[in-house]
Amino acid sequence: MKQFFNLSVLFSIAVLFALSACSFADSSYSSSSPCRSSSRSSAGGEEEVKQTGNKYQDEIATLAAVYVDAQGDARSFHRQISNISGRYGVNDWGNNRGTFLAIGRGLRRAGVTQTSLEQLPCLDEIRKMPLYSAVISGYEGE
Amino acid sequence: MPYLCVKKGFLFLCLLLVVVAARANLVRAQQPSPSLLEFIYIDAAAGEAAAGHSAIKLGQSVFHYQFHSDGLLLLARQHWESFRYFYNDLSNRTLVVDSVPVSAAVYETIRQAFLETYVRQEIDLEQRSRLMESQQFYHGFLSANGLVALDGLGFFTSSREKSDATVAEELLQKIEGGLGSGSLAALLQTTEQALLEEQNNNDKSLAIEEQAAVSQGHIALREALHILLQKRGLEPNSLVGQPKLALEGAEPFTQQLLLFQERTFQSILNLLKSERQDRGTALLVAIARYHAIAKSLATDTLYTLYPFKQLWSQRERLDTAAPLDHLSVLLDEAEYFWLQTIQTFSVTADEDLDFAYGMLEKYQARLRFYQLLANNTIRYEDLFSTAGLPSLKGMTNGGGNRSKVFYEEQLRKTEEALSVLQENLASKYGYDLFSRNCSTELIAVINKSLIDEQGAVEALGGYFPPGQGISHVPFGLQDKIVSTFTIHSQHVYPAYRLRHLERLYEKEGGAIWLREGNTLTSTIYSPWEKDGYFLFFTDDQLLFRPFLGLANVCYTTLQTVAGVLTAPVDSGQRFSRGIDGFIFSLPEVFFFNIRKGSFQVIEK
Repeated sequence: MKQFFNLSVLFSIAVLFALSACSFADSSYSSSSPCRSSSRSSAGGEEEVKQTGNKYQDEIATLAAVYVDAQGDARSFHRQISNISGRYGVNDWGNNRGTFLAIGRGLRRAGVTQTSLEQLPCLDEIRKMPLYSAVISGYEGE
Repeated sequence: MPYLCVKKGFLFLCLLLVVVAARANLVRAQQPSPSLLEFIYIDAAAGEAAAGHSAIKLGQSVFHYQFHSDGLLLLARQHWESFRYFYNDLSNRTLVVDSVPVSAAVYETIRQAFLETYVRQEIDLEQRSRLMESQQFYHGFLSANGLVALDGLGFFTSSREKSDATVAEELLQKIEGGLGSGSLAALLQTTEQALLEEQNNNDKSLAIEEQAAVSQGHIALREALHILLQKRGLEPNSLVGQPKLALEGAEPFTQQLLLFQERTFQSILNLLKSERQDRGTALLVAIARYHAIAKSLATDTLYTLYPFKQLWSQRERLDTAAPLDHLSVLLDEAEYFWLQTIQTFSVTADEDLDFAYGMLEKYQARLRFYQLLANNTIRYEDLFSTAGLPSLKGMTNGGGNRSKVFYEEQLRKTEEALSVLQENLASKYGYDLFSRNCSTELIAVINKSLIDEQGAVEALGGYFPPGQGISHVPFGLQDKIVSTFTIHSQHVYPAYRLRHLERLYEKEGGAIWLREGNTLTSTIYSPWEKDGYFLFFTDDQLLFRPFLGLANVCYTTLQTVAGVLTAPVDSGQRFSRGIDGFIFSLPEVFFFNIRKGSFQVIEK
């Protein structure tokens, strides 16, 4: 009995510590898994669309700030924008005005001056795109 | 008389108190509500974090670090409603939220710090995905047929004969109308030339994954141009359809579809004119979407693109936890969300149409998934975690004209770079029980954003380094936060079962525990495959916990023994649930509760 007790205590402590890893992101425990009803009450509603748009712009703005800070080049900047936009269901970010507004906001937040916008290497291709004016609008606070 | 005086005086005093209280409320209402950092402690649970979990809520966004199977601890960003639904309802765990008031500037600094940490992490992970794609790409060149896989190519038929070319014909005419006759053929020639040059003299100044990306970009563009010029349509399997019966008379929806089709067409034109290296895949998806919308407008069915990289039928069964017992609930839910998405899409402003259409694709696929599951047409697979932009893979000739040795060398370099990157990721994002976990990292990000100890004291009312004392454990962190920072308020969100139990107690009295306290007769909880076996709930019982825990130990021992006998029939499922149940019953004997029981489905 005493042996069982000792074993149980050790076992319990081991369980507590060994499994104190943070929440798992994989497998069907994940919130994205369809083996559980996985949507919230507002799923598919206007609020979800708005939130998705806001989160997307938040990430793009932060990405722009990070890229200026790291002096990243245009090619990898595009790739990262594509990566984020893909996660949000935006196929062609070059045709999405919100992307350009967010880039402008991020650059302003990073402390880039308006005159130096023209020289930033990460904007080399973006400056030639039809929606480039939205970068300026975003920078100016739209 | 004295009695009357006392009575009047008492009434006056009451009135005065009411006025004072009302004024105080008014003043409080007029004061701007402070910006709050809301620290969330999530109660322990079996199968997840046995010592709880930590998160921070900033507005409607929740940031928390999750453990991944590859050993990495990564920052996740989730909407509060969805976070609460998963942890508080489905996972049945109590949340305790401690709010720390901060200035608007500090709040924004901390919010930006989490966002920046998240984006930097995604940049690193993207590099890993790119290297893995490069690896597959070079494997393709080395395979017997020399075919490489391309995202988005799987939507299209391999030849014109196999598809209805009307829409393709109309699209080609519209494009040539916009760009000029012969423009596509000229672009195809340029692209093939560029691909040839690039493959002959690959730019060695580029990183190995960049070299593959340049090739892939050219090949994807070449394929998109072939599809347009050969007037190829969509493979029937690449579409997910739902009858539009429910949408009869939905004129605004049709108008929005037309608008989005035009927007997609503009996107095709812009991509063809663009110089973006990654435009090929975007072009393939845009052309496929254009076809899907055209087909929807011409028929009684709403079509969207198949959302995953591989077809359902082609995949191995990944998970046995098919939600068959609750399929009707999930089906109803999926249908409700689908209809809601249709309504939303009908009224969405132009600027948000990309997101609304993406949502439509997602919820339509979800509905179709459950319908097929209900008809037993497909087996259950955990596919939704990989869903993003539709990008069904297809195979094509990579046009590789270099020697086998060249591709073997490229593959070797890619694998070397991937191995170095994995090591870097492990040292940067690796999980450590004491020094890098969900609790330590939250404090590390906050402290870093506030620069130094002095800054933290001014902003939060106190400071402590990550992991100090037992703050590396979630409940230890919660104690540390309460004892160190200025706390504005605390809010407890009881777990789903406890909330329901409380309601039943109020309605039917305490005796209800006899029915609801065990898994056999409970009306709130139904056992399911992901929960190990257990007999009694002990999370709401402290005094009797050791006795109930002992009963659970006996019950799970019996189940485990039975599991040994049934193993040949049920692939060891009963045995594994028995062991799981036994492990989480033992702490209950010593007053510790970890297991709460979780829910597969919650009926709303």
